[in-house]
Amino acid sequence: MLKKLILNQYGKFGAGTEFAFGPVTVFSGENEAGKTTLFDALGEALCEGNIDRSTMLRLNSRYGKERRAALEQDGAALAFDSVVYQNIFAVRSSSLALENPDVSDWAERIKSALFSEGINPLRIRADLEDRASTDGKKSHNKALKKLRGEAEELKKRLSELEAERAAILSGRRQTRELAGEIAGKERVLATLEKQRAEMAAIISREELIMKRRSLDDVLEFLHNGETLLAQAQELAPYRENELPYYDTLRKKSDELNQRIAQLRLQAENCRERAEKLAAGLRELEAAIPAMKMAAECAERIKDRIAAFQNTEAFVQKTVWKKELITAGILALCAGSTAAFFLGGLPARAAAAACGVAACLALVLTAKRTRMVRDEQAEKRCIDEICDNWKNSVRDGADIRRETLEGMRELMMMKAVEYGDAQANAARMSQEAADMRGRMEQVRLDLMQAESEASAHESGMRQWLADHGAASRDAYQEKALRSRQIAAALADWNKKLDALLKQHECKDTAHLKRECERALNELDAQGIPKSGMPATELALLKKRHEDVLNQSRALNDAVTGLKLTLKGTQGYLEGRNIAGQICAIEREIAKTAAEIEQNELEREAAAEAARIFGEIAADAGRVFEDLAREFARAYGEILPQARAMEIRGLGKADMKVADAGGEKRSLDLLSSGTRDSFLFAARLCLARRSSEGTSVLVLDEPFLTFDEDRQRKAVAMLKKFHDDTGWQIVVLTKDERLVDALKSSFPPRLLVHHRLSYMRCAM
Amino acid sequence: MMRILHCADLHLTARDEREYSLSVLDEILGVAADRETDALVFAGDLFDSFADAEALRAQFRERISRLAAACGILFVPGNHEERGIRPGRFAGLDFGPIDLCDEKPFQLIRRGDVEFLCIPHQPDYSAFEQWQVPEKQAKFRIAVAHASVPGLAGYTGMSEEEEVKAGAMDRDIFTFFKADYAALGHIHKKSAGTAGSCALHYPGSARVWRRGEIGERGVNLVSIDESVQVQFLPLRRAGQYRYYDVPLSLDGNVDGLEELTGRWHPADTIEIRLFGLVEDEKDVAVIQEAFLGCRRSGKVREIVIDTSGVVPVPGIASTSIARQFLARWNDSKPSDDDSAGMRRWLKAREMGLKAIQPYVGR
Repeated sequence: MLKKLILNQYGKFGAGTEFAFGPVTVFSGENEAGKTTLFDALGEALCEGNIDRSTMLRLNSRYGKERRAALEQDGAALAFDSVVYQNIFAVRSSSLALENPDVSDWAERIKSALFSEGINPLRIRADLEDRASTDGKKSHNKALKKLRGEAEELKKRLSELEAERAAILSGRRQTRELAGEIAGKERVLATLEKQRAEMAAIISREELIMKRRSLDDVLEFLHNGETLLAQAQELAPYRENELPYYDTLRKKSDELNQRIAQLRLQAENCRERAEKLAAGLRELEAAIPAMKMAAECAERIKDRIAAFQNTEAFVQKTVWKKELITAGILALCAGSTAAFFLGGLPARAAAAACGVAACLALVLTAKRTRMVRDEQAEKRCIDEICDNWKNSVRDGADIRRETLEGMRELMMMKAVEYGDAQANAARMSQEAADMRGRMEQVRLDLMQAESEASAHESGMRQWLADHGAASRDAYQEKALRSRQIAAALADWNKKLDALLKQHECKDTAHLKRECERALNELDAQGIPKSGMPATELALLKKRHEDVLNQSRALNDAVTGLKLTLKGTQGYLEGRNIAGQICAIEREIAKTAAEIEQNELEREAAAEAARIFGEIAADAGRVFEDLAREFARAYGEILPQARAMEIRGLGKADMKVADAGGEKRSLDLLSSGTRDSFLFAARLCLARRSSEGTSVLVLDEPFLTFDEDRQRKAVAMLKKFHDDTGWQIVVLTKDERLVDALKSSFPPRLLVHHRLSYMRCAM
Repeated sequence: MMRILHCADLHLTARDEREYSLSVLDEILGVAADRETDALVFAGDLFDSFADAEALRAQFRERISRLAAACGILFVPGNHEERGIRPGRFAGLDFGPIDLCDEKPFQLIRRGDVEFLCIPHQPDYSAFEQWQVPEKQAKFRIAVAHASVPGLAGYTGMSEEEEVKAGAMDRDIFTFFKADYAALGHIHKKSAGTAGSCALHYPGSARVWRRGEIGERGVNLVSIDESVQVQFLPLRRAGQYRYYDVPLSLDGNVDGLEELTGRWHPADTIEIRLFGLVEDEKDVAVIQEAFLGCRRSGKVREIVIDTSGVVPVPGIASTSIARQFLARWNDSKPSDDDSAGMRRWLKAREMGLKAIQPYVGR
């Protein structure tokens, strides 16, 4: 029950203005006394926190934001929805209808306040349908969509994780393969390394052997050096530049010997020539007498021949040479013929000249003079000569010739022969004498040459003896050897320098000591003196190098693979994908459960809404009840009962019969009739709206009522109060109404506040 | 043939549920003896915490001593045994003649034709390939592990943060190690799956450890001959967790109360959620008392009543729309077989009344 209304800065009412309430409270006063302000303030206090927007805007603009209206209440506090309050609990005469055009869902709100125990099943159905709906803007409408969205997101995330898992599984496979590959390669690497180590050991041993050999070589080299030095010293005197002297001697000796040989040959030739000359001379001298005789005989014969030829034994004759004549004729003929055929005068003239010339030549040459001898006389002369020759010269030679001419020539020859023989003998004799002189000269030259040669020979022998050589060749050989040894020694020295440098030794003795020490060490290690052949070692080294390269390449590969593996493992180890999948699966299950619950609630809400829909479907009955109630209440005000029709709570839904019995809409009724209908309807609605006690606020409710209707309305109000126990608040400027109320309600129930302009101004 | 009893998540505790948890252990040991199993495997969370392991080890030793002579007992610790563990203390505890397989990341134990690859709880198993587990030597290999396995981990809606904390194991691990059977623990809901040729089994928690663990509790009997056969054996003394949404009538009564309580077992844990609008709050206390009486009389082990869904609304019993609604709702009851319909129907009642509630008493 309302006890007190306390106003602060509310319109006309300043700070701390209080109004007490009784079961029936009347506020009366002239215009602008503050009744409307009080009506608004009471409404605001009753609907605090539940005021529709249009009302709030109106109050703000009218009274400002500083206003405060508070209620003190007894028992269960009354609180209203402003729309419901204004339409059911607050009755103003100025309201033309039940509906409030400013509030769109006023009818729903009113219905919910009216039906059954003030609960509208349609409203509940609407609530439940909204609860079941996913279309609205409230969070529960959006919840399912949100959950489904989340579920989709989670499923997407799960499939991403599954893909990642698959990638990891594949990565693991690859890792395993990689690890396998690494293990395989490492096995190969180990084998290779073992091989390489074995080879390296062999090579190392071989190198020690080689070292040993090289040390041996160095020692041998040193030894060779000593030998070379000894040889060099031994052969030092043998110098090739000594030889030219010997060779000069030799050359001279040779020349002398050659001259001796020539002289000896000359001597021999001279002797042979002298002997030949002596023999020839002897032979010549032996022949000369015969020849003298023959010459003398030949002289005589010549004289005889000359004598004979001077006789007439010979006749001179001229003869033609036949062959020449024939040739001349033939030439003539040929020339003539040619001239004739060739034609032309000059030619023919030439031919004629030729012919003439030929004939002349023929005549001149063909004629020869020939001696013709008397052959018999000649023959006898020849015989005579031959006999004479036989008798005078007994050389037996046949001197016969065919002709005397021949004989004379022969005889002339015999004289010449004799002369020649004599000359020859003289010449030969001279020559023999020259030869003898020459022979003597040669003998002397020979003797001198032989003496010189002998001196040279002994000189050469002396040189050889002096130079300690059996022969020149021997000396030369030794000199050559000496040069070679010297060269070898120079070479050796050069090598020695290199060796000293190599072994960091200052001299050969040091080097030798070092080599011997190293050899002793190698001996101690049991390094043999000989190893594998160099080619084999080179092959081994090549193989070792190959294996080493392979091994390195493999090692690089393994290192690379291990890096990859480490990377992969790092990636795999860092990803607890199973945990993430489990978490997501739980999230999905959780969301699914939430969705299921949400859907269950929506289905259940829809089911419940359906039930409330069924209940609401029975609304017609409720309206009929309401219409009957309206009619009954209305009838209490009007002189006679009026028919009415109520389909809904809107202005157009209600029709009331006028005095003539015609049903009219509220707009078409007289204002008194309409207001009295609305008053009755509001009382009914108020009565139905709540089972408990409440409050009814009436602002000039009966302004349009005539006296009779006002009286009846006050009585109705009294009855309503008696029936319901509701508090009644009346605001009016009508003092008659105040009086009527005062006479209807006992004074203990009624509290009257008279508002005045003056009071308000305070 | 070899028989192995696979048990998980018994959560022996020295606190409130000590007797209950030990009684389930006794039943498990009894089953192992009756079935003449060759091995009894505890796949983690045998104890509820390290402190419980310390407190109960003597009782545990005593209880298993007889069985241990005939049956090898393997205990692979789970995440709960590590709760409050002190460094180096686990191996120091004497659990009697059992194989305590707490070496991480794994321990391999051979029993006849079977080798057990024991994987105690770890936060992360993803580096399993580096574990260098020896090649399978025996005919069969059983992996014993305490972890979540994707695809098998259920959702109970309760204490999910607890599950998140545990390590998760990809099922690839079982194929990788060529296991034939994975004796798993950690997930309290019974479930099974495969990974290649390996059968993965969670028998579920061996007792009701927390709310929400609906369904029979039990252990898996694994028979290994030429192949692996699995049989689920329910544990009577473990009871069940049963949950009911119970509508209250407007005057605070429960229909079919006798029928409901008649199904219960003394070891059961019951959770009842009462809901509805009632005329008088006192009526709720009365019915709550009736349920709690079931625990006192030993009809159930534990009963929890949730009355948060009950709203006292004076005058509701005489509110015609509520009466109308309930009358019509009652008429729309689905058949008992339609469990989804039944749930929806019950929910519709709750929601319908809730919708009325704001309008009642205004």
